[in-house]
Amino acid sequence: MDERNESTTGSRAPVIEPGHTFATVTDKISSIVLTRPTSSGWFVGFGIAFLLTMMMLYAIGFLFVRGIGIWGVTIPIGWGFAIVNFVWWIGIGHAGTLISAILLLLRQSWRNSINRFAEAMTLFAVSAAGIFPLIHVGRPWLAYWLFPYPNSMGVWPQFRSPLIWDVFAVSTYATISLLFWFVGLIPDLATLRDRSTNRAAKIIYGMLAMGWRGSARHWDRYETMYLLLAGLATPLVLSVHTVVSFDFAVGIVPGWHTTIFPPYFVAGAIYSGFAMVLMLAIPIRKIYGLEDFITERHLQNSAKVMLATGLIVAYGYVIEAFMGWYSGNRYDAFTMWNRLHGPYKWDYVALLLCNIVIPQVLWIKKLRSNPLALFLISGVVLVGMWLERFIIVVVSLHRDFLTSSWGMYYPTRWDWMTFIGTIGMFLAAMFLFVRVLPMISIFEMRTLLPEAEVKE
Amino acid sequence: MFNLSSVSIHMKMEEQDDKGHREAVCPGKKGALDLDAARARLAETKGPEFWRSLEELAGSPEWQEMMHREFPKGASEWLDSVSRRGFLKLMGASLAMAGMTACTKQPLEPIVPYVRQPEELVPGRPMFYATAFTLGGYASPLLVESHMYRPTKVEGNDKHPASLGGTDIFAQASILEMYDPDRSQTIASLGEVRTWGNFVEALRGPLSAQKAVQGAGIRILTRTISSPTLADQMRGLLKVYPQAKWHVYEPVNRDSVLEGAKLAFGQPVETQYKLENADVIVSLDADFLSAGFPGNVRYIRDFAKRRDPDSGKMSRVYVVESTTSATGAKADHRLPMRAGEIDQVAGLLNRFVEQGHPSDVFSSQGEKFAAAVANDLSAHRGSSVVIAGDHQPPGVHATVHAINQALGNVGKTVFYTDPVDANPINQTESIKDLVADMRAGKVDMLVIMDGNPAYDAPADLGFADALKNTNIPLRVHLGLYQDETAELCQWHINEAHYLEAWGDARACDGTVSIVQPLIAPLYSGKSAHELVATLAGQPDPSSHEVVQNYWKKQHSGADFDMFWRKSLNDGWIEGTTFAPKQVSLKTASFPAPAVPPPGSIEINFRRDPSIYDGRFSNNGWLQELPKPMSKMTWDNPVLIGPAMAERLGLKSEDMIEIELNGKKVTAPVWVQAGHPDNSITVFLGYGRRRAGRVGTGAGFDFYPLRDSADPWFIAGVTLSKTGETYKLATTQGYQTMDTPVGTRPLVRTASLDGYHKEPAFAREDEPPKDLTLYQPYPYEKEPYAWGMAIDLNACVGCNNCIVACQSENNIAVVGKEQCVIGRHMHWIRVDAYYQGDRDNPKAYFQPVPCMQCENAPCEVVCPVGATVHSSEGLNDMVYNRCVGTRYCSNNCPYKVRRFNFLLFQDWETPQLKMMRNPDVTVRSRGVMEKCTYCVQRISEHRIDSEREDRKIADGELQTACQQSCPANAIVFGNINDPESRVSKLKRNPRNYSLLADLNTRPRTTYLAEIRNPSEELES
Amino acid sequence: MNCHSQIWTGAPLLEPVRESFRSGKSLVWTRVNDLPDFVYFNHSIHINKGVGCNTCHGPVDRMPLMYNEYSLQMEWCLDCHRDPAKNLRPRDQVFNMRYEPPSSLKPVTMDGKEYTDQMSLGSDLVKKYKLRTVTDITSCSTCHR
Repeated sequence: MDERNESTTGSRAPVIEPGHTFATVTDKISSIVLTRPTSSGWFVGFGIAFLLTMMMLYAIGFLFVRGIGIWGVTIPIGWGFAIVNFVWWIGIGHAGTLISAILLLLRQSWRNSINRFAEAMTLFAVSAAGIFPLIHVGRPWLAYWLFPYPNSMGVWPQFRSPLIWDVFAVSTYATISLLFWFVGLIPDLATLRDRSTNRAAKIIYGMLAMGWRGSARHWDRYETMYLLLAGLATPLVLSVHTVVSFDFAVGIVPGWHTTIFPPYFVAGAIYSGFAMVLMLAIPIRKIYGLEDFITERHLQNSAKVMLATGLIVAYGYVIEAFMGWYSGNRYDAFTMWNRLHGPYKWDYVALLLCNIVIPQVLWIKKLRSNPLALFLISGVVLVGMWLERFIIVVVSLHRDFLTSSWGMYYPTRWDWMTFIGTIGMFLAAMFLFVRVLPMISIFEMRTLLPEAEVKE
Repeated sequence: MFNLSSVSIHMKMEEQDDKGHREAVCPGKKGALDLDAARARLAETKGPEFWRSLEELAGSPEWQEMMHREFPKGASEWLDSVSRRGFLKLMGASLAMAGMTACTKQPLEPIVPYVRQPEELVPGRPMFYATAFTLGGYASPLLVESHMYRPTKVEGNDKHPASLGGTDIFAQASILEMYDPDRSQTIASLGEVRTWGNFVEALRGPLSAQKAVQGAGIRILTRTISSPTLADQMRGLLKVYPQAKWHVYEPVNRDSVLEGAKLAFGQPVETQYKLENADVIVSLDADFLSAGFPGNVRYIRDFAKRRDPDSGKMSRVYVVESTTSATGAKADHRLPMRAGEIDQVAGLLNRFVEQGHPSDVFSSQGEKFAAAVANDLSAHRGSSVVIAGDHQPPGVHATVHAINQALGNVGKTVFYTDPVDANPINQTESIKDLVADMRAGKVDMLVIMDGNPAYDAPADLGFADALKNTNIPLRVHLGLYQDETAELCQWHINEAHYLEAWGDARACDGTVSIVQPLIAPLYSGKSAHELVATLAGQPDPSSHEVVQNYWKKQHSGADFDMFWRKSLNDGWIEGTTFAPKQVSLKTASFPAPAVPPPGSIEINFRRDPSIYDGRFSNNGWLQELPKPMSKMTWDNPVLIGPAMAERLGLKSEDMIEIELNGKKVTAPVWVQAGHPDNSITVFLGYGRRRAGRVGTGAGFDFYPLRDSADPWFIAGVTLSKTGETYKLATTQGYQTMDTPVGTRPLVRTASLDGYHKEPAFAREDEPPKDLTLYQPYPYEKEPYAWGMAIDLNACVGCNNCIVACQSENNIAVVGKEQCVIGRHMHWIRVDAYYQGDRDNPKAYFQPVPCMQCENAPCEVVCPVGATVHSSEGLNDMVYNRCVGTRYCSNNCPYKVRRFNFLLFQDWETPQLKMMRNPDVTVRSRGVMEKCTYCVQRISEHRIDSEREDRKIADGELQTACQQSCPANAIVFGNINDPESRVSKLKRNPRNYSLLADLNTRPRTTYLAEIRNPSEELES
Repeated sequence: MNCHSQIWTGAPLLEPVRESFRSGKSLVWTRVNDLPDFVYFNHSIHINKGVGCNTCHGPVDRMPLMYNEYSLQMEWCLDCHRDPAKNLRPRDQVFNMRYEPPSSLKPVTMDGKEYTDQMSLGSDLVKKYKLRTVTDITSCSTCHR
């Protein structure tokens, strides 16, 4: 993406509509949290999301009582929805880090208006993902054995296992994302502290603002810190999903055992990540009238990112099919055949439609700039990416080497409850976020204003 | 000698120290505090006091207990319907559990030592006792392993000619039958619990009344009895009551064998075969390799010996059969044919053996086949054998006798002896007479000993109805279960299992084995010996005395004690083997029976491969045992050929209605490759109403279609599709090696000639040893490197290894629902593959245990190192370290790993705890498990040998599957010892490893299968 | 009742034992040295390889009331299995509760050779008693099945 110093070349649509001053920006964003009354719509939405979350807890509780057997997993399909969802959520998380870290380093200032809730989205997605590895094991109460800690058994985890790498990758990722998000919030928390009239709010924001006074030194420290974190986060964007892809690539299962997984997983992650960003951004800017800040330009760029990563994913599919044939390996060849003609062929067809065919319409500028179209396409892509993980996990496993051990996978109601439950949890968190925190970085938006232009 | 007094079961029960219930996690004890109770105790208290009492509670032993249970009480019993209250309760608990189980200290375990320890007992070391299991009158000689006087495992008696160490699935599973918590546990009269005393009391009146009429009103119905003692007792009883009658009935009887012998020789004889002398074996619908066929264990051994292509004289096998069977699968040439048409083939065979086939134009496939077989037979006079199936009509048996005579096989491969059956009568006639007498009101006192005629008697007789409605004053039932028959008798006596009582029985060769109990009756049951003795007026007899006294009579002499001890120790009685008998054919021409109209559909009734005639239907191991050909568990669908299915538009799992002269049964269909056309096969023994919690309701009951006239097959059924479907639980959905992108070389085969031309045809170059990221471990430097070789040529798919493994390794039964979704737990499975013409395919068996790969894919992916390699090359599985990611199973190319998706093991039932092998951990929920090459046995032998400062000798150490295998198909041993049997087999050119190209370097390898077809039929 | 039919025949402390012998009802003991049920421990082989009683059970002869001397946790077992030499003693000393490892003050003689430190004695015993290699005896299946 060659979007460098576009703020000077005002050729494209602006990243912030004209007519805004420091004050208006601050007002507009902070008022959402502080002054505006909470709409009934918010309550309804949050209510539904909350109920879904409760459903998830119910499903998980029952899982702990009865065991993994309540799910559809079996031999040979040892992994089902849990891992599919895990990979899907982790992938979604990527957009946030990418936007906040990489685009920051690339000085893509247009990111400023979407990075805040993209990061929040990342955080919530990662926590949704984090649930699954924990609950999908047979004895969750012993899951802590995956962490290397000195113990009375005199044994360590098995460091050759990708699952151990996951533990580190994901936990690091979660930590960094949290820090990044929180540090970014501090100046705005201070703003809220100062502007809020409610005493309780003052105290809470005050504590969170960690005594920020906006002095030059504060800003100096802040900038350094933020840059450092960006530097730290950047490799993570690539590493996390690479490691996740190792869960499969290291395996011997036909359909897993390929070297293309890392790049193709990362691309897929960003693909779904941006889809999720759009699915959130489009309604939010509408509801809270933030079209001035999240402009058509942002939608355009996100769409372009989707298009690009989508093509990389498509390339991945092509190569998989090609290698299936080219390797001359009878098992890989069959896996490919099975995707196209096996019992799950419709999932594969749907996958190709959702991830490759339909998103091609993004080549058309009119559609790229049409929020509704983008919203729908993003939805399609999210479905497609979920299907991709389903194909990789389930369809590869259900027919591997010995024909005698082939099987079928049928998700149970508990699988669905847990999956939909996590979506509920994610949304619930999102609802709370937009309600109590500035969903757009106030001070960073101000830097986009003409007044902020520093002239030497 | 075995001493009953030291086997007080009561003592065992209170024997807390018993390791009978080892568990992967801290065990839960009985009487543990329930959460309700806890909550109740807390409810009474409030405020600060509340906290104090919480501490008290937490301090209380019960609480500790509860925290040590991995799962709250009842978590396992849960059915899918979720009670919200129960759910919340348990959820609360398991969340608490989550924090507390793993890191807590051991709970206090009280130990209760013997007051006077028996000398021969070394706690922790098993003892073996010789005994015998009886099925259909035929005894299988056994050695039973006993831990602290609890029988835990059945093995074949390797010294006994009828076993040579092998067993069949029924004997293997009988251990579970003995511990079955559903067994009848009391004497009952009209449903009321009674004592033996009450019963004897109740008998007194009727018996004295019968005395007057010489017992004219007494009828005794038994199953086939080969026990000399019991036969003697019965005869004794009939002396006391001359007018009384002794009836015999088993649904799976050998009437037509008996009648055939009478037809041919004018007298009942037992026919025995010496398959090791047979170059050509012809089976006319005889499934002589299947469990339940008299002598099958020995036959399999001899058969396998002669199938060895390296021996230079591999036998050739022709099978004509009316359904699909393991025997047919092993045949070099198989001709599927309706049972009703097989007697024609027999006739042709007889004629061609006499005169040879006139021309080379054949009117039918059967004729061509018969001609070829006849030529082969004539070429091997004296070294061939023809065997007829039990369910073929007498004519066929007589014809076959004639053929064997004509070929001069008698005395070489075929032997005739006295019948093993002590009372060789036509059982169908016998039960007919009985029912007639019942209806005629001639019966005042009916004693049914160990049988279930109300369920399995011929339908046309209406036995159950007769029993219910002809009010016989005294009806007594002796049986292991309160079954359909017990329901209709006033008195039910709970029978003692053969592992609980003394007795004796004859093996197929006539040799008598003493049936020696391994444990005192769990529910103070009575044996047939005791019941008969009581009827004969003996005051409280013990089966021990009865049997011993009989043999005292037989073996008069001072050295009786020696004789007795020796017989018990060896497992058989010297000099009781039947001598071959000289018999001569009365006639050579037999009436050819009527031929069924070609169009009409024939129905075949067969005993079930797993649960026999239904007597084992409450045996979870057998219910869940995949049937040899279809791999079906828990059900008995109607088997139907592919062509026929297509014609009738039927698919597997479609429900059909079978109508046979007015009677209807509805059941699902299973399309079985190789099944003859215009014919269906149904297995008996399912659809029980009162089997117990395992067997009741499983499958479909076909006895209602079975008449005394045609007990085995009859043409003229009509099938109609009902439109419903029914879910069936097969453990192997795909039974072919062919995929759209090529055939996978899983089972490798060649013809004998092809093998001679290219001996190493199955070989596949393994990738270079260093083709791995990790440093290869120098296994060759170790004293032992364990390996296994499985000879596919020898394996007859009898499933014995599966049951043996299940028994040895405490493997759980999961039930039909779990089997449907593929969660069966067998550590070793026997895959069956079909190839070629679906109407008569070649079929192959492949037993698959854990391959113990040297480069094990499962190990690198386990995050906690719960599966790692031992220095001797075992792929160890550490249950208590496993957290259950199931990654190892995903990454196992052989899919031999099994996962405890739910709490499959029964941790509550005391009987089942007693049955468990104390040397193997009982796995918990959420834990992966798999074959370990019986590592517990390896350790035991290693420790013994090290104490004696020697190496483990080859053959001294056997895995459970190997030990039970009648075919010697499984050989296990030290591959670092070039002289061990397994090393020799691995040097055999037929040796290949499964999926070698994956570089897993499996320690378990296979010997390719060789067939020996005849040129004549090939062309 | 084996020994106590000879010595301390009247000791009141042993009344329960005699009572149990008379009534035939077993005494219920509390297990002090208890291993989890998934751990398989074989005494005979340890004795055979020269592991003394008190190496694992502590000074039982000087315990007025039996107590658990060592944790018996996995790391504790492994500590010895990973280096058996440091705990081995001559077979004839296995049951000697007062046995002390060789020191320059109290050397131990075996096969005519005098040892003044445990490691040299231990490493010789490892050879003499043909102990399996450390990889062998630290394989999981040594204790877990």
